[in-house]
Amino acid sequence: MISKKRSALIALMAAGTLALAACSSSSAPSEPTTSGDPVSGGTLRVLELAPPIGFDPAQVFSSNSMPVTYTALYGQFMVADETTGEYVCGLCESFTSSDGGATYDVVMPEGLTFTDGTPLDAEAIKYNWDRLKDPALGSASAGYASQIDHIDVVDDLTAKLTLKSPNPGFVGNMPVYALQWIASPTALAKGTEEFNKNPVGAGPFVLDSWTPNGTLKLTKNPDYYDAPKPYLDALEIQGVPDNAQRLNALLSGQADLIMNSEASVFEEGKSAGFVETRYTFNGGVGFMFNTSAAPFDDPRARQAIAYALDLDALSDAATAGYPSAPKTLFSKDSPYYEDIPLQTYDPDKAQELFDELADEGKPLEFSYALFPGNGQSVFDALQAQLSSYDNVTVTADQRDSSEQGVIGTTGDYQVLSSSLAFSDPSARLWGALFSTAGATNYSRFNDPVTDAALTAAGAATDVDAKKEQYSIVQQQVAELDPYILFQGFYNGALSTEKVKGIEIDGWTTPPAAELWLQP
Amino acid sequence: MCASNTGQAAVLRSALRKIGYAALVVLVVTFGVSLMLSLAPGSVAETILGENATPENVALLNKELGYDRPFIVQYLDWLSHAVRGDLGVSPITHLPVTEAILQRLPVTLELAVLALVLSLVIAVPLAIVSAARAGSALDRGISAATSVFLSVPAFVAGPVLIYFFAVQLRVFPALGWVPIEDGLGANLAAAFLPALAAALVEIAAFHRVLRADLIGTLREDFVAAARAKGLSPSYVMFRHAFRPSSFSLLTISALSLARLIGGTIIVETLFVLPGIGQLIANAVLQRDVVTVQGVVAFIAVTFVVVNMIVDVSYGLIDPRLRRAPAARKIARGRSRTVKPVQKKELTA
Repeated sequence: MISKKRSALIALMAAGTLALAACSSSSAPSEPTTSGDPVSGGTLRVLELAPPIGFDPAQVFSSNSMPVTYTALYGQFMVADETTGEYVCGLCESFTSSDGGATYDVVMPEGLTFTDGTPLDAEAIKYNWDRLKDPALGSASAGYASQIDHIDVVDDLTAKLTLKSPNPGFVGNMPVYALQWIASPTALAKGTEEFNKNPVGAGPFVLDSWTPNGTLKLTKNPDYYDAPKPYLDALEIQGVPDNAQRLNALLSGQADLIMNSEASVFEEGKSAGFVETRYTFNGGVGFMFNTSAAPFDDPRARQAIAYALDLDALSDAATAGYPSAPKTLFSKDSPYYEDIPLQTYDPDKAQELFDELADEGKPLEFSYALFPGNGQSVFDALQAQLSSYDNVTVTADQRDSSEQGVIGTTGDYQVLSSSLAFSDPSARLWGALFSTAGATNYSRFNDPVTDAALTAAGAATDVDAKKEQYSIVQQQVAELDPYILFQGFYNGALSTEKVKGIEIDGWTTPPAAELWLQP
Repeated sequence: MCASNTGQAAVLRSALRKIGYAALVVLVVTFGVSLMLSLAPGSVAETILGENATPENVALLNKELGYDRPFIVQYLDWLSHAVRGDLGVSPITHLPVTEAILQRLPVTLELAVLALVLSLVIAVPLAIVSAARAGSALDRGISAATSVFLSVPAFVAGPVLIYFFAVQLRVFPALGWVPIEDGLGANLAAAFLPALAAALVEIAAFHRVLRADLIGTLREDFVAAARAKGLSPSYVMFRHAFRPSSFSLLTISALSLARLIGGTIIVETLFVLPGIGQLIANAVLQRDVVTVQGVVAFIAVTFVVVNMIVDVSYGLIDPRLRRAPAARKIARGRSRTVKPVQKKELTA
């Protein structure tokens, strides 16, 4: 029994809570207004997906988690073409190969300097990219930089890269790695510890102050080459790995812009009246099979799993109610989009294949490499769905988070969740599926038809010819299932209506130089 | 003269023994933690190199960092530098660990002190009220409220506080830290919710301990005698009962402070504070053994030093303990068993 007094108290508390909620919704931002011409001035408060551990390009773990920070300090060496997703020169003048990716000529514009006054020229390019290969520095980009055999400085503004083996997608993958960030060799020569106190790039902002794991304050570079950019006077950036914390900060008025890649957070932010800017990558996140080892060296095993899974249900379980299983390899925004379904849910066909493998003495038993984090929900959903079939068993293969990076390279797995997200197909898709792409072909996929189509697409110059080849690739991926994609992959931001100039196209965006605040 | 020399020698022996124990504690703790990290799968090289890391590159970097050596060699190498004040350089951040600790110490120290002050400011009056009206509805109400505090962990209290005070009311920031030099008001506003989240459990513990001690003391004959003399209840409470009841509170307050200085990992993570807790949490995730060893050594030393200060402070509270070293054992035993000071001892 609840007494009258207690009932009244509960009612009062409920009314108070509702009143608080009403107050908060009335103070939330309204719909975005038209942006108009950029206006200079103001300080933008940004929350990114992770805090930097330092600014030395060799220390960058994931520049995609901190695009504003790094584009503020270093600008963008390469930028994504918003139509094709292919990367073209930003800071550089041209970056071309005339021999199918065996060598590249990088040409820098004349007169470009770092904020310490030293030139950003061919020597600086060579210094930066050679340096990333130094094992003593332990750069996460060492593997990618090591694809470069050597760099010749042709003249002050031209550097010639010779790769160890031809890679037509080399340029398109660069922005994922620290090769995107060029720092002053003079400043780098002082050592990482000293450099982190005074990082020197050629970007639109310079360091004001930094508390590790705290706030990074940057001020406008008055000598930025692309005036009147940057528009902002200053940036205050903090890295906050937790989605809810970033959203709370936005809701509480403590941030103007938060970076985000989670569908649920986009929805919550939008419903609270904030402005969403979202880029959907081609491909997505899914199950990646080790196609070079049993049991998934047999395409039927992969196909059986593909037929067996209701990916929408799996995606729903993995994303707590925001399913986003990609239906096609290219998103609808891509010029290469074609309606070729990646997967068909067909339980009967799946059971037939499971039985067929069992009859051959190879009942499908495999392990799923499980890392700390939200992998558990994916595994639970996978196991639950497969439990309704005979002759298939999946077990969890618990791994430490430190193995997450290296497991694809070592190939010490059967199935794991991995990303096949890409903006520029000539780069990341090539690296993931081309048989001799090397370390980046984590699934060890080897299909001559796919190889030929990827090569032809890379060599083609017009969109239609490329599209024709990529449709072949898409058909092969749908048929041979090196990946089964169950979740879309996003890069995006939520902001108040006064934040303008948010351009998100693939990796390492939005660029800090474009951002401005409506007064 | 001879007796004086013997006494000094005893004090010296006692001091040396304590320092020896303290060093042993630090040694065992750092060795244990280092051993556990070495047994965990993965390595710092794998973390650093990330995707595209080949086994050869991992091996090369491990060699470069000295992690290819036997564990005991690595530990002794670290220890030989640590005893000289060099806690090493983080292979992840390239920053000396001592500098990293010192960078974060002001945040954690302020948070710890604020949490402790908040706890005491709230818990002591509540305990006094509870003890003065032991068994009453008010006492039961306060005890029930503190039981709620005790049963709500920081990872629950933190988000609830953020939701109400930051997201809904917008009176405090949801996350982040503002250094004092950027304004005391902004600094305290940023520190308040984390300090409160950290303080809630302490409030409950402090309240319970002090209440129990006060109730025990208030039942003593000397308190009854004081009351019989016509002294006011508040005078009896503060002049006669409070001081002898504060041994246990002092002990657990000091240990709480030491623990809070060691880093409130959950609170610092929830509120994204650049303190010691975040430092060690990130270091563990990144397999940054050097930073973990350094921070653990720092925390162990903090605990040991605080314990020593507590030992000394017993003497300040109870003058008899200054004269009789053996009596400190009594005090310690008392604080452990949470027994009130005996009337005979105080009135002797």
